[in-house]
Amino acid sequence: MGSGLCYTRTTNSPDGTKQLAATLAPYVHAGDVIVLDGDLGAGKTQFVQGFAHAFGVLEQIVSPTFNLLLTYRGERFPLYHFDLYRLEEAAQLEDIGFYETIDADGVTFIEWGSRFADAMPYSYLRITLNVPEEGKRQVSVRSVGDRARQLLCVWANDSKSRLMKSSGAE
Amino acid sequence: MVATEKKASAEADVLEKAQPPSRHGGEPLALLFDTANETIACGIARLDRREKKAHLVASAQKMAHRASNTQLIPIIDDLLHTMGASRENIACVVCGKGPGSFTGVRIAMATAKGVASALARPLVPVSSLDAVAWEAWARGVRGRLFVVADAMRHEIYPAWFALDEADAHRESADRVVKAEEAFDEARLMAPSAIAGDALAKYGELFSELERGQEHAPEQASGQGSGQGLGDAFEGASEEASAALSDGSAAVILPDAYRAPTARGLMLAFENAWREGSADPFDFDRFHPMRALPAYTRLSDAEENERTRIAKEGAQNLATGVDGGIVCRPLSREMCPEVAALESAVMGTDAWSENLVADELGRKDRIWWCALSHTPSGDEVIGYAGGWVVDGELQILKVGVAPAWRRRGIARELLARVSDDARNLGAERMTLEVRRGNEGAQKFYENVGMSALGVRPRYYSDGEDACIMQGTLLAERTQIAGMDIRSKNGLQKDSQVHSPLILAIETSCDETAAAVIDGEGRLLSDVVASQIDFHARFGGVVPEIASRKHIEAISGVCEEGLAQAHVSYNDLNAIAVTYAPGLVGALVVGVAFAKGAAWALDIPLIGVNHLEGHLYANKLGDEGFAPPAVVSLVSGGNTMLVFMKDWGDYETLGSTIDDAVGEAFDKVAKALGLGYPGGPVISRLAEKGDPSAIDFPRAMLHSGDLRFSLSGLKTAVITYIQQQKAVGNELNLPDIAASFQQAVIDVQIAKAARALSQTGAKTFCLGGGVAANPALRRAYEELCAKRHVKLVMPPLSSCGDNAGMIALVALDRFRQGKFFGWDADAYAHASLDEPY
Repeated sequence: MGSGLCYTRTTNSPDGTKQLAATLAPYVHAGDVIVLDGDLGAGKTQFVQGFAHAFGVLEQIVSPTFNLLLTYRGERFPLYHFDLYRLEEAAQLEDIGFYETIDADGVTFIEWGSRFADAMPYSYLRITLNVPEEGKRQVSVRSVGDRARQLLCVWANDSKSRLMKSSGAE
Repeated sequence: MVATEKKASAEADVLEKAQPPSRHGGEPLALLFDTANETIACGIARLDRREKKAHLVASAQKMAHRASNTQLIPIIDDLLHTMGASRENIACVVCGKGPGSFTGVRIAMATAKGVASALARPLVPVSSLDAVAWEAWARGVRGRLFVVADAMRHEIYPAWFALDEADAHRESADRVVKAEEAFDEARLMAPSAIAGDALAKYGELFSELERGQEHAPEQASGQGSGQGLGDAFEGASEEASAALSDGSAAVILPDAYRAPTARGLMLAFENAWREGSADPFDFDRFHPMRALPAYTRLSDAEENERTRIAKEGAQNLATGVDGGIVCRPLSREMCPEVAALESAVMGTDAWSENLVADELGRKDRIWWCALSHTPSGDEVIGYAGGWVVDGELQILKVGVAPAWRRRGIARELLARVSDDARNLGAERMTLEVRRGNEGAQKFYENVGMSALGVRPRYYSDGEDACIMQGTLLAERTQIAGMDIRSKNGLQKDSQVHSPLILAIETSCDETAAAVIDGEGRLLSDVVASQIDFHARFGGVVPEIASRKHIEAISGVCEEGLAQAHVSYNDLNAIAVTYAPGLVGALVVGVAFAKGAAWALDIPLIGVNHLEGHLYANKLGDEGFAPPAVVSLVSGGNTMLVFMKDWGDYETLGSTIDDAVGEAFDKVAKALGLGYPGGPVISRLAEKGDPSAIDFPRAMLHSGDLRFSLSGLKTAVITYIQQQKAVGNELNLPDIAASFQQAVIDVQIAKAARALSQTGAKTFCLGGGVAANPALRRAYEELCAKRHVKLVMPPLSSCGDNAGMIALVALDRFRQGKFFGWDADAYAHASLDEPY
């Protein structure tokens, strides 16, 4: 389903992951969705923290594991942060206002989105965080759909992101 | 906005503003609005009754940014004010009914119901897709128009229109399809133009049609694709878009053609008026109670249920409310019984078991059965099936066992099928009935259907079929098929004192209304419970709750007013629960209350639901006064609150995960018992040994006043699974009693701690769980031992009700604390912060 193109970067510290995330902030439009995958502790919430800081969110970003959804006021538009780890079945997505939120006026980050792959939107950026060795994080980015492909292109073109084209293998 | 200056006027004209609104002051106006999409469209039109024409005199279009609830009434207020018209000039309300974002449509519909109910004016719902088509028509688009509205989750609401010089003619009914299917449909049908807000997301998909079918679709490259689409068309002029339909290529219409506009809404409404399907002056036909949003699909919970039971049996979740007859969607395991009944009552044209089973699980079919509970199991005593085709429900079967006839079962089944059909986009129903079956024809006439014609020799035995047609069974929509409970202690002629306040509560699964007078007397207190609709799912389904509130709100408020023997014009304020609770449910109450308060030009009072539960103790003991420690335990809350004074509260501790009521429901579900879990478990527990199983007492020694129920719930469920795994018979009474005791032990220990900590000499209960007899006994013991006064609200006031909201509202009214027209609903709100 993805465009096949994959970009990666290996960061050496939480700050490195946050810095990478920060470079994405200028390019997102309202309605963009970023799905974050990776094991517990891989740095998904850190990624959102780095993004949010550059996006002008003044509040502290915390994990929405219990609340399922946390909303922040960004400089340009809202930031929605989902964590679907605790959700039991896809039918509950409707109950938490998932579809109306991801299709609305903000940028949405979804942790554990791959648990409900069918419920992900028409177009989204898929970011996978792996831990190749202690302290390091391998960040892989793919796009699904046209809008996300365009977003990924401009982001990867920003030299500060230091994203490298890769073969596309996971 | 309304706040302070309104207070004086509200007190000044207490009970004296009952002059009937007259239309003499000006021409009749239609108030039109739509918030189905990301924009708010609002307008005011002059109505020419003789010519059946409407003239738009003011309009506004604004981005909603998901906040139409905060902006809609201010925009309406502004428009009316700018044109110098008064609310009494509004002769009717026209409201976009979707399909579109559910929350958006609900805000528009609930606001419209509030305004129309309070002014006693007709409410005419208009399709938001029609409004888009008519706006395109007004901008000069002609030919075949394909309107695609974003239905989210990769889906689209498609509709076809033929636009000629005279009008925009609708060619297809409301439905929902996958985005790719809509695209395929468009490729096949070759529209002249495509409009609608789905283009924002699927613009690139549809742009292929624009390039024409002859050209091989090229890969869109970098620049100008995706999001750029909107920009690319910014320069497109109206003339350009007017010159359409030249061959096979379709024109993708730009931004201005994507959301409903006031003009589009007005033209669509005017057209319906001309055609006779709308009448802005017919209150009976367009009573605000009747208006409903267009959904085109069931809630996810219901859809999954249908898919599941098409293959297997239904979960054994009795409603626990009524031991008699239960209606539920037909499941696979019931098919043999249905087929047997079918062959007994339908004779030669009976369907076989396989034929019936094949119907289940299809998206456009609706089957319900009626069951009679007997000690030996459930017995099928009736069934009904229907097929939704192009906006019409075709009734396939209605059968009731002879012994069970004349008890309203067929009507009930037809009502359930109608409800679902309405949710799937149907408005009318049709069926064939044997010409000789006069009883059946009489029945269908009684539900509002009429004979349309005869199909000769339709049945296999040669008998003719009578074709009957009518609108979907509408009676249930007034109170959404719910039973209304009411407590009313006042005689008709008692003297009532101002202020009179209508209070509305929709925070969870009960739609409630109450009227209170200046003496603090509840003139009425009515509750419509949705419990029957959630029982099958073992818990409250938020989407169903929201839909039921929309159906019921107008009727419930009317009932509340009627029982108090007052009318909207007698009111001095309207109060509503604004938080905490299910947002989708709260939104309905807030939008309705705002619409009604605005229409009457009286203050709006927002009430915190939890504070309502604190005030409910006044109903248990008139002399009740703070300071006190209150335990609030319900399906959504578990907390200890220190009431220092009225309006001054401190939350001492609350649950860090599940609420107690939630834990009862989940344990009941795991045990295969009914819903709600509270009463079922407490009844079972009376027969069990509370010390049989040692379940964990979470946070008993945490040293603070917080609670945790999640671990206990998991422990019970694990225990059940373990017992089942080793083949042990479950001792339900012992499990129920032991679970309940674990809950009570923690509640009592924390309550004792809270009393010591605060030194309060009064302890009270609130919330639905306060109805649990064992818990009440434990508190009685605790308070007797500590010489603390115990106040418990009457059982009927433990659950959610509007009476308690009214009690808070009266204090707020006296303090002059009102909400503005930009008020909204919130899932969370702290009791500790004044509002």
